[in-house]
Amino acid sequence: MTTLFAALDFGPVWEMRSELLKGIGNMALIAVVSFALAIVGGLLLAGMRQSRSRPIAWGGFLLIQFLRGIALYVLLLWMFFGLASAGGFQFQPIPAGILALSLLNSAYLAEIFRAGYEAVPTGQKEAAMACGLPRRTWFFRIHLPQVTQITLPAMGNVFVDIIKDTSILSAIGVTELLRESQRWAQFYQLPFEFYTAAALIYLAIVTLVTFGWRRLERRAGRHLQTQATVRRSRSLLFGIGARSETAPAP
Amino acid sequence: MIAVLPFAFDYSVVSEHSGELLRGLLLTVEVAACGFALAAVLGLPLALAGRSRTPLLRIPATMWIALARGVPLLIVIFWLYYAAAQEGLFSLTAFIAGMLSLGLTGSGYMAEIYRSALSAVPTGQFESAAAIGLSRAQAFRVVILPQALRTAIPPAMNTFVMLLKGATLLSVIGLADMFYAAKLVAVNEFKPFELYTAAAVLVIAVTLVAAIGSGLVERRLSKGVRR
Repeated sequence: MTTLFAALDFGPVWEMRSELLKGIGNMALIAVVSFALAIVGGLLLAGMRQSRSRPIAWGGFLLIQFLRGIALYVLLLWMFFGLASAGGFQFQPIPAGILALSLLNSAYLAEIFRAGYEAVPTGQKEAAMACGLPRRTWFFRIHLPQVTQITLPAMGNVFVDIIKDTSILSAIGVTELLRESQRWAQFYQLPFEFYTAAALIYLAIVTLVTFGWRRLERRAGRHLQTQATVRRSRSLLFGIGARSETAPAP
Repeated sequence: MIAVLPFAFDYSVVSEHSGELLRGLLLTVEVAACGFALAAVLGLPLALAGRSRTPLLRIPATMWIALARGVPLLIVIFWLYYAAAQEGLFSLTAFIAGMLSLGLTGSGYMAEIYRSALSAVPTGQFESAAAIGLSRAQAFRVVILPQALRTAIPPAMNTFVMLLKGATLLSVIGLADMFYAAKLVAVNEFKPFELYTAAAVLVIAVTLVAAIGSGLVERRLSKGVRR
């Protein structure tokens, strides 16, 4: 085993760190913008499906099915090469990638939003109406916070998927992390080192985002926590440096 | 509809090459099915190890799942196909590399699905199985697993669809699948719009069929509990 890996040379990976970092920067930019756009698109599609007008609801349903059925790689090449040859309309690589990522993921998010919207018990609305709250107050103060809390975990999964899927944009020449790794792997003839490094970087980023998202979820659901879970969550890794408000024992 | 488009859609190029596309589609479905089978087989022991009380089993399983779910499929493909060969670890054909990368990535997702399906089985089932004198292994095999599998079917089909879409990526390592054929013809005939549209339609058709199929399987399996 040691002789097998004796030839490993991670030096070039370290030398090319600024290039790889640039790739990571592009990846972060694309992932965040795509996620934001996908949320907007997802809300629109979910709204279409909830619409009282039959054709609009059906249009929303068909769009969602269509977008969920298509593979990102196929959509990317279709947009980037197919549309260019057919309509003379040429995308830049990064906008094409962002558009494809946000279109596909808006369909997933739409389903998540719809499920979350329907998961809030109707009693909540009835109670709000019985208290004489206006509809707007009900929606923004009662309904939306609960929907957010229900949908957050699934949204986190979509965000992680987007981060991972940015690697596919390398196929149309977006200089993200995988593209950079590929380039230097070929340049130095060291595919093992560069691809292993890329895999570990992706893993680290995904792990970090997952942890951060868990914190966000906990924050959104903190009104449901008992004192014990609050204390436990503060003592976790990411609770370091959190203010230690010791609540008086009941 | 077609007439208002600002360009002509050349059907003939698609129909001329439909044989290649369909043959490739068969390969795409084949590699995705093999990968899914691998993932389904690997996922169950992974899920069980992840629930184990011994850290010796739990920690490697957790790390495997994190790795499988955290590393993009395209990198797994490159790693298995190029990187491992460079180190002389093993050299794989495109089909085997594709199947392995789909299977390994899918195993993490399948393990999570099995895990949540197993924990969705009410504890009363374990207790009553023990009460009628079944051993732990028997209880798992005849009482717990059948119930868990029923819960696992719909999300497992989602994983299959995910792998099927991931299989289009295998054209980058030269697997002569449907999308590889589409790319080749698109370049040769300079008709990317027609070929990529055809490819997209084929992918959507297959994923829709898979979705409908999963609905049927789910209904069949929930016969016992439907009212």
